Amino acid sequence: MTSPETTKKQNPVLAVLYKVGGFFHKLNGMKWYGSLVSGLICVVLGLLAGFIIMLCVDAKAAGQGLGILITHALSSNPARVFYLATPMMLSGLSIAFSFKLGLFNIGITGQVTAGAFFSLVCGIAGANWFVCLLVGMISGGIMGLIPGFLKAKFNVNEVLSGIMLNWIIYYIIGLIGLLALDSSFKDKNTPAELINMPVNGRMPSMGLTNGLSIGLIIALVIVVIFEIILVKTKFGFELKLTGSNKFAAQYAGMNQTKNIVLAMMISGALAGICGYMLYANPLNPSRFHWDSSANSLIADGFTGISVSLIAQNSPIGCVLSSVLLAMIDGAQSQMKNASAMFNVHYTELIKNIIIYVASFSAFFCMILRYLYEKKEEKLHKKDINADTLDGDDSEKSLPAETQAAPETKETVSENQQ
Amino acid sequence: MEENNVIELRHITKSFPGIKANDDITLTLRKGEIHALLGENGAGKSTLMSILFGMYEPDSGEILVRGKPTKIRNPNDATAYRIGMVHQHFKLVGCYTALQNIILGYEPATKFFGFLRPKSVRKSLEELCQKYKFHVHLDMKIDDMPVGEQQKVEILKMLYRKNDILIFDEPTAVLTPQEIEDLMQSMKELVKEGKSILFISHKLNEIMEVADRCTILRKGKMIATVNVSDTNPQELSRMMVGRDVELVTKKDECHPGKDVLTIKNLTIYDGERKKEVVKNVSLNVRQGEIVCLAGIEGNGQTELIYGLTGITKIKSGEAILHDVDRYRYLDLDPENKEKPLSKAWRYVKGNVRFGWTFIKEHVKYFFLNYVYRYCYPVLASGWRQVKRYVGFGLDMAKFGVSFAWRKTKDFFLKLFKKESQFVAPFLPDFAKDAKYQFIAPETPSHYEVKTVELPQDVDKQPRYVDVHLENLSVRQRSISGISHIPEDRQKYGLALDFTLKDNIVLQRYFESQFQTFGFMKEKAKIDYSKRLIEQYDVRSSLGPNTIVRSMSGGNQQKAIIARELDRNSPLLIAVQPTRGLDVGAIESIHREIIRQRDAGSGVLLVSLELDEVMNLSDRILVMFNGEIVAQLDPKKTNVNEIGLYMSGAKRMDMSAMKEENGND
Repeated sequence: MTSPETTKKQNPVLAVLYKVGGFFHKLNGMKWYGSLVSGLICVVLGLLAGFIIMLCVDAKAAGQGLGILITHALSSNPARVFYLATPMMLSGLSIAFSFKLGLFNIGITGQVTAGAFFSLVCGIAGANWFVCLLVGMISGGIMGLIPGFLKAKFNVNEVLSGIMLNWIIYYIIGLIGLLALDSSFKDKNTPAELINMPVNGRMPSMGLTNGLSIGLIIALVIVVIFEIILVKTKFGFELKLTGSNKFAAQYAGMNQTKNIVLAMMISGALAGICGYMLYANPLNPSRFHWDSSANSLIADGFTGISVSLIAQNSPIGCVLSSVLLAMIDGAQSQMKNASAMFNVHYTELIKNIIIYVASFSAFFCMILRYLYEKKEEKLHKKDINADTLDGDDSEKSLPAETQAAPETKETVSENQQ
Repeated sequence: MEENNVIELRHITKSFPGIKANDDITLTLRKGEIHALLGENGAGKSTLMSILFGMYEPDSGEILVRGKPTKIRNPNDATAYRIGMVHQHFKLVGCYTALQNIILGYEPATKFFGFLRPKSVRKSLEELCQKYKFHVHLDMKIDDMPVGEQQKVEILKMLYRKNDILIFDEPTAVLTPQEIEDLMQSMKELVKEGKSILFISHKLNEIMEVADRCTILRKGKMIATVNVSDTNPQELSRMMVGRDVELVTKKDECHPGKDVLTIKNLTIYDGERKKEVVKNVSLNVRQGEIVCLAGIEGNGQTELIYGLTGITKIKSGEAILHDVDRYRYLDLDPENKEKPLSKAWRYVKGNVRFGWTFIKEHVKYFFLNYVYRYCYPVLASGWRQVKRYVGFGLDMAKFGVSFAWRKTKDFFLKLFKKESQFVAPFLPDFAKDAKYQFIAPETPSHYEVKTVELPQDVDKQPRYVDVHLENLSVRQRSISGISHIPEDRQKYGLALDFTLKDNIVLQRYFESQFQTFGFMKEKAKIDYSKRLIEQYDVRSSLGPNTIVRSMSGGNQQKAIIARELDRNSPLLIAVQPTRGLDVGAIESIHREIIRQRDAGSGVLLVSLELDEVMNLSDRILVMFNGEIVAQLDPKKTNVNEIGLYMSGAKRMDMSAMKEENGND
């Protein structure tokens, strides 16, 4: 007869995994900074994977490349990092919020597009920045409302309706641009492009000349508000419960239709604000175009998914992970300074592998932690049994049990005879 | 002696997080015997059988099959050793026929291309059916079969695979008394053929009837193995629970009062099965009485309860809850004292609702204006192009369309009369064309400020009113005074990934004691759940902060029962409150329900277990095929009679019974 302890030692792989899981568990036990550290570890793993790719491409310049990737963005122009991160933060928050309800708002790209387009049109027509932001928020919200409504009323899968809606919005915007917009709105040389956001519609800069705007403050305030909503309020409780078990939510009399529609609308509204911020930077706003020959949706919506994954759906985590992605984004163009081999294709590859591994290992850490918690609970229980259980069924050690057992054995043998 | 042992489990130990499920268990199964495995819920019976069936690996100990030490790693291994298992919840594919289910996994197929040859099996199966007197329709779909027949299919599946060690995991939980009788006969028949049966149960009378020997487990440890002929139910239950248990719960005479719930001609239509699952049901529940709805699973009890609690919709008929306390809605104390801040909060809420209506209307009219202004030119220019290409053929249609358009336009023009002022500044220049003038909404009548209901008005209205449940939402019904212990505790009753405290306040988290202005009060939640945990003896490792998934089934159920009973609702609906629980837990739950009854609540109990029905109820209603077919007095009836009504063999004239009920 072997004791459980020896059987556990027999599996070295499992033992190592338990140790790693235990480490993450310990981290998680340390309040909020625990999950921060475990998130950072995932990011380091991601960077390591990127470094390996760089080694393969150009081994001599790999170290320098990694250095540029990490430090360049913050050292050369930290403000740029933050204004790149602002819309990402919001799109990540949008995804994280819908994830709390168990919904995957993949229609976020359509919402970003709609928010961007309509706020731009308003801005060009002469509205001020806050009205533009509101218009972007409302149009994004309406775009989020559609899949939410379909989900709540007719149980249509929100992923399907979201993806389809992305393209519908994309082409409707093309149509509006082609048919309904005055030519003064469009670029003279390339008619499938809106002109830049005029000054009245851009976000006010914070008195600095480096592109930082009020958008960052707005985004941070929104993040804090959402953290509070999710942790402290009745609405957050209902959302999380509906996401965890919708039948129990129904049983408890929560208004699920309202919750689903509202959550998708809020998620869409966040995406709409993200859309506005993408094209309303005070220094050099980028251009919105609906060239259908390019056939591509705005990718910034999808970035939100990886932001949210690395942040493990935590609103505050979204801030940090979006800053990280912005750092990598900002530095990748400078990597050619390290080696001529690092052209656009390689830097894109490296960037995406970092994001991929980081978000995947976040998932992996969650599993390891879960495994460790199970094991820990078992050991804890055993201690309790050994120390505190009443005298009748003493479980102090295995030999003691065998001594306590003869009663039962006798009855068995009696019956067998 | 030794040769006769087909299975020997020696010193099996298996631990799970937080619990030692099996602790040094030794068990032998002889050839040709029925060996019962008895134990409370969570005593480790199912774990032991899962180990034997290869679903778990034991931490230590060894398994001998027919005298040889073996390692069973997965269910396929078990089948190779000719061990078969009938699970508590059958593992059958609902949309396949019985025959397809039986051959599943061991299909008789041609060597090349793998064409199925079910005909070769059919003959042998029919022989088996004849031999054991099974009445199974091999070509019927599983979904259309009664539960008893489904179980026969499971047994046939084992016999088809030539298993001679059969494990029955609580096989009688879902059967009628007649079906149970049938099953016992089949088991005896099978044993005569030289097969060996391991029979898991916590029903003592079945074990006394059918088993040869019995092994008792308690808290993962083996207590004893006894010959059934040498013992009695009292002794068995004492060994199982570790103390003396009242097998029949004592209760006082019932003194029914006024009606709590009246249901009249209730009909519920199931969209999925496309039929009426509850037909024209009328019943009443009175204060201080336990009305039990008996019946075989799937005869409309579940749907009736879901219809009553609002989870599914009622097609027709009415359900009236009598004497509902309006103070429950208004967040008042029983003494009509306002709780702090709730007056202000109600005032704010009323005004917010008014403001919301205001905004909603304006947004609506803004978008109507928007459509009118922007879509009209686009549609008109598109129409011009169509007209150019299509020509005469559409001229007739044009007449019709223009007529309709004129009418619509008139309608819209009538609708918007005045000029709007609040949107114009944000619109582009070209939109300010005189052609598309903005028109403001006519002020709807409900813009008038409604008087918010304040507590001083409350006195003028009667405190207790009758309400029609069919018009209310789930939340409103629950506030009106329905406590609901749901059938499926893991699906409806609990959020498994949430903490115990969150689950305990699940039905009242919105009350002012747990939230102000939408912010939850953590401390109130913890204090309240601590009180309930202590009062109802809910055991968990971390108290209020335990994740419910890690708790045992019995304690999960206790948490639900604590939650529902503590609300002191006038009507308690309990659906199978003791399903899958052990004798000790059943005893305490029964006691709680009877205490609730004695406190003056009406209890509507739905149960499949006839012991419980006979034990607990003051009045029995039997449901068959969506209708109530009998009303019985538990003192004047017996299990067999109920069984006849349950299977539809007999039915009463219900119109006579209604009068009888009305009289007393």
